[in-house]
Amino acid sequence: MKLPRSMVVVALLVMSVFVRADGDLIVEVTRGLDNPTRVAVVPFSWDGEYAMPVDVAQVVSDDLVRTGEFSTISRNNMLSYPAFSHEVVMGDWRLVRAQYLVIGSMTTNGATVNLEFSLYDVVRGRVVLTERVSRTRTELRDMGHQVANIVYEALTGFDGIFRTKIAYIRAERDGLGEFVYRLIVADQDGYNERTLLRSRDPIMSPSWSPDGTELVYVSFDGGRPAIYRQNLITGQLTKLTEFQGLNSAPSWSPDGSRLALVLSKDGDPEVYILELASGRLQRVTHHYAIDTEPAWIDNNSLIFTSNRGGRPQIYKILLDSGRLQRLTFSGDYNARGRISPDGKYLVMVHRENGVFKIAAQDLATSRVHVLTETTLDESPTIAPNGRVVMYATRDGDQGILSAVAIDGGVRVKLPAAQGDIREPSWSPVLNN
Amino acid sequence: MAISNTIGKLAGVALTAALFVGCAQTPDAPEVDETQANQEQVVQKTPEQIAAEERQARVDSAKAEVANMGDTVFFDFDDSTIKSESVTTLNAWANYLKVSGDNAVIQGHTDERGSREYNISLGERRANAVIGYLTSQGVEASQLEAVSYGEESPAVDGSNEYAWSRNRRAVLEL
Repeated sequence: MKLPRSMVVVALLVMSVFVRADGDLIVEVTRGLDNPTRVAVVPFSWDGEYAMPVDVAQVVSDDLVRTGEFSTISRNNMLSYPAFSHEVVMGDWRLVRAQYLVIGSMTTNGATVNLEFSLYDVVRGRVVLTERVSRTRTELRDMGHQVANIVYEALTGFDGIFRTKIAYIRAERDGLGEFVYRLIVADQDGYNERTLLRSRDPIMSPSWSPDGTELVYVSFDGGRPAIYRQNLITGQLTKLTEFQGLNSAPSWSPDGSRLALVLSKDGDPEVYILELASGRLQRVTHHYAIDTEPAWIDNNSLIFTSNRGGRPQIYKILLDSGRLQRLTFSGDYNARGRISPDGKYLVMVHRENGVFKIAAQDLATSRVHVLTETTLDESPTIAPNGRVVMYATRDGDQGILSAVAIDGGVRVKLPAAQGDIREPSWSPVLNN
Repeated sequence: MAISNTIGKLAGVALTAALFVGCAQTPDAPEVDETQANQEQVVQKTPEQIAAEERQARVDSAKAEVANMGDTVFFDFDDSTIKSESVTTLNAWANYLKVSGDNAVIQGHTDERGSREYNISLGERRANAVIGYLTSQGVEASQLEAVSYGEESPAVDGSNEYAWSRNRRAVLEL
């Protein structure tokens, strides 16, 4: 089915007036790889009874660029706009030095939108894959993310992360200068923001359940901290702990049955494990120093921050034997550790020359790589495919999120339109 | 604990009684010269009333001293040691809390640097350091509660040495 040329042009005109309608995070690549892979994502054709609701090809293109591993060919520089295989002229793409090409055609069937797309290897002049995906007309950004996942997985061999979400906290001052805090969940590209909680008291430490259906967080509602669990599908909210003193830093176990958290009910901050089904508490650490920021390595081991040696450093503890091991020795401030899904890296807040950066420590060699170039970097969270670290930093007077490849190099900024954005928490891969 | 609280409550009861006596008398003696009425009242005071008034005077004076010293003490980076410059402020608070029997909440705060969750713990350390000092001066631990806000509630906005130094603090609140 060949689309008349005039129809393609109409579709392009419609797309050119798309403006960003929602979401407050704007993505900006501040530093990419020296030799990113060059991909051309051609605007998808549209054969529908209504105007194309979302520029799906642009969603795909933005997703790929945001990883820093790809650069895309500008639409203005494209010599043709093929939507079907017989329209592809490889020479057009070699001329603009594209290494890969994505084309697609969209059709509607009532509220259902179908997309057939193909990925070409321009250098070898052949099709890598052709697939069909469908969504309702209101889910077309998600359709774009799915296409980006398929393309990314085919080209890199890593799992795509474009259908994941991030939870974060936004703080801003209202007209009277008083803080208003929000707990927000958004798509990984900052679109589709949803406020889960709005409060005049601080909200902290959002953390995902391993199945991606629930969050735990700390709210100071009423002036004192308590740990809450909220189901994102049903909205059900449960207060889990509200002990005297700290109720802090909840982290969900990989098997979903327990939380590691921090309580100071016995006098000073200690790591505990809360069994969710029974409500049973088990104390993990026993030291008069600060013990906090637990994160799971696997179902039997945790890392946590402790200043028991005088300054904050990261330790590992085995839950069955209680065996304790100090992991960090480089520098006098290492905190808020997270372990990459492959277990290779410890990502943490690391002070170097008096400023706070995000660093990754190779756990096999103990070598520490500083990943960021800004100061006041904090709250690292690792993408479920282990490739990208998102963190909070400051841009002038504003708190923003940034992302960096775990092996360094690629860096992406996600500045917020308003307020201070902080404490990002990357969701697991979602099965929706 | 019980002792100072009881004293506080007794002082409150005695004071209320004294005020009640004073108020009740005034409308009954419209023609009497005011100076004379006051003199009569002084004469009628019981030793308990006098003690209560003296106690109240001590509370008022201690409260004035606290107001004069302020409600905030500051800390060094990643440190919860009470500085020598904080001692006069904390002594004034200790005195006030002892004579009044009032309860206080000690808020612990940090600057924005480093990890937020570590800072929540550090803020609690600072609040507890203040509580430790106050109890060493004779304040009952049960009058005091620590609440840490970490770096979440800065007093001064900005990412500079001045803002950081003002935000590394403990705030005493009645």
